[in-house]
Amino acid sequence: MARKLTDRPVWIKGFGTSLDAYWIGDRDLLQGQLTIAAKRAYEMAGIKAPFEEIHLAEITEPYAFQELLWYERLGFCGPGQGGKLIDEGVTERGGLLPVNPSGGTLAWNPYVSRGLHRAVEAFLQIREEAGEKQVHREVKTALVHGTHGFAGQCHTVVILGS
Amino acid sequence: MARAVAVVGVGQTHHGRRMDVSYPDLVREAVVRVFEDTGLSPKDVDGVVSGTMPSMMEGVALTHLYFAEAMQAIGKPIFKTETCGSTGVSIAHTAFYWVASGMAEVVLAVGHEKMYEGDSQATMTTVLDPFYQRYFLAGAPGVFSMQSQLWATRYKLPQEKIRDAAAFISVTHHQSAFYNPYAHIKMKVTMEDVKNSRIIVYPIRLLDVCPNSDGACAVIFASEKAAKRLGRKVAWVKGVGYRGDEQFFGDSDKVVWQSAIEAAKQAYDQAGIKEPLKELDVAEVYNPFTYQEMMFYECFGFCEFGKAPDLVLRGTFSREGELPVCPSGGVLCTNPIGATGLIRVAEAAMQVTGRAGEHQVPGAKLALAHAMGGIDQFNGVMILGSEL
Amino acid sequence: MAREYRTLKTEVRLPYEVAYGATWTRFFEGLKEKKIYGTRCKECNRVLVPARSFCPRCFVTADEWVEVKEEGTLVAWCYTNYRYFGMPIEPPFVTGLIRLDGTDVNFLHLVGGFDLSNFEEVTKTLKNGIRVKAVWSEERRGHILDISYFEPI
Repeated sequence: MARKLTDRPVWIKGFGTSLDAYWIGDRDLLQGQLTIAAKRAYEMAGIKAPFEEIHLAEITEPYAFQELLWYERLGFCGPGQGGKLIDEGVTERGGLLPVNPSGGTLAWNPYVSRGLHRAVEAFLQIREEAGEKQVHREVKTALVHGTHGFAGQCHTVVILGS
Repeated sequence: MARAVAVVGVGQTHHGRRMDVSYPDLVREAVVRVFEDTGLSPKDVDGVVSGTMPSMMEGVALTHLYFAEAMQAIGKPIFKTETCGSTGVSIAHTAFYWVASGMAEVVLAVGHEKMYEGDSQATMTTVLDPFYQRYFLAGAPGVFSMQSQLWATRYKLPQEKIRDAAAFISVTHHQSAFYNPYAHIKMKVTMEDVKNSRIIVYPIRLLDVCPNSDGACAVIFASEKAAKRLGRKVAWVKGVGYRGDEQFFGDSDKVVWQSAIEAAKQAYDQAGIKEPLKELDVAEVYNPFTYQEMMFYECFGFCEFGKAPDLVLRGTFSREGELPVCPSGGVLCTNPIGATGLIRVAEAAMQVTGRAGEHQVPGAKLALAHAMGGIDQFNGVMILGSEL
Repeated sequence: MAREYRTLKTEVRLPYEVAYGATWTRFFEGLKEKKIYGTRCKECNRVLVPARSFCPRCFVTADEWVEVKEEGTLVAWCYTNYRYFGMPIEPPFVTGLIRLDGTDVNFLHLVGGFDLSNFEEVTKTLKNGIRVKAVWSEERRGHILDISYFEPI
């Protein structure tokens, strides 16, 4: 059906979601459920080395520090190393692993649809239809992330690929 | 249809006024019971589906976050599905599709409500836009009064006949509730009691209408492989259907009611049912209003349009009739809204697996579960059967 | 009866400012001028009231505005004689579905203009199929109750 509707479908390669405890004092706010959600998506998509195999990420980051924390939980870098990716320009538009060329949730936060916007942005990047936002490298595999609940009680990761 | 999916077990709370427990503990009561029923434990569950009424009902929003512990959903994938009154059937559908797609083997569906903690009628007003419909549809019974009047006019049904048929239905269900340990309202009523009870909105009287109830229901859906491992009779999902009407009440025909007709038709087609009255053994129809219940019989093809009152009065839909409707006592006796649709699914599953206890319909093999959502807007159906 | 424990009495009061958008704005401004506006869908040719920004069935923009007659036929009605949250006016009152002349859907509003205190008497006047006509409020502010009710004619 997808091939009937377009000659350039973007496939959902992986999906993972996970919920954390309600009582905030019961939770590990640094570890959380993102690693588990990502693991489920990576396994489904056959991704073993996220940093190498993912070409672009659209992450839901209502707070700037969360983006750094979530680089680490997604396996883009080791614990505490999120800042290095910024310092080294890795996650910029021209970098090795561009993150949120759309401006992400920090730029625009319609709470319920924001995850879907991330998916749309990744889709456009894969199809090279992102206009001024288009990153320089080729994007064959993109990671899409959404979250809701306080301090990321629930995380969802989707892998899109051409 | 995708791969086979079964309801392998159910759990319900004792529905009613449950100010003895906090809301999370109410939810846990149903979840503990479904694990007891199936012998499974939380670690066996691949995913959880949660649903309830709009957050204003109890004043807590996004309750799937609040009940992460009560539903043992921590570390698990979770989906939330809410379609107002039809939520219970919608979460059953979501759980079904999840297992049917092959992406999960065992899924726990949980629906719940704690209506004594809030103002249910005030909450329902928020299901409408604030400019126009909210003014006229806020008091829910009025809608069903108009709907039944449209029906009576269209088929030239005498008021007395519909009144008698509706009272007959009320008597039947109130009697049935005595045989359901989980039912809320257990009250002996006679035809006269119903016809003399306090008028709400003509012609609907107090005993024609469901109660507010606290309650929760938990149902486990599983793949064929997982179901067979349990070594017990299970209820196979034979068909599902769900449809919605336009948002404005005045835009659609609510008598020859497309969303109800098409939802049932899709489920029947999938289940291979051509003559529902003959082939179904039990129908757990969503029935908060006796008058409207008869309209569902017609939309579901149990009889021709305009004929339901006659069949009701002949006992066709009574406990010993050709097609017992709501041997559990139905929504008329128990209505924790977020759970209600799922209770219909649970009751249908209990019937076809011979586990309905005192309200078992002997030899039941094929059952229909249904729920309606919004202000007469959505309808969802699930058919369950004892044979794969 | 099971033992009950403490309860918390609490309330949630939330303020909202809801946008009308172009279509609702024009419809409600119309009520101020004693006009009931509908819109016609170019594809199915139905006239929908209240005016819509799009046709629900054809999903196309419905931008042909029609001034709808303020008279119509009563399709269904119900009589309410108790107070409840969100009621439109003090009871007793009658809510009705009205097919305004020249439209293709039913319009929700109140029916009144006569003594509603006795239900039996009301049933002598109100029957499905009678003709009704809008009665406007003296003071109008762009609100659905700028029409006070529809009265039998």
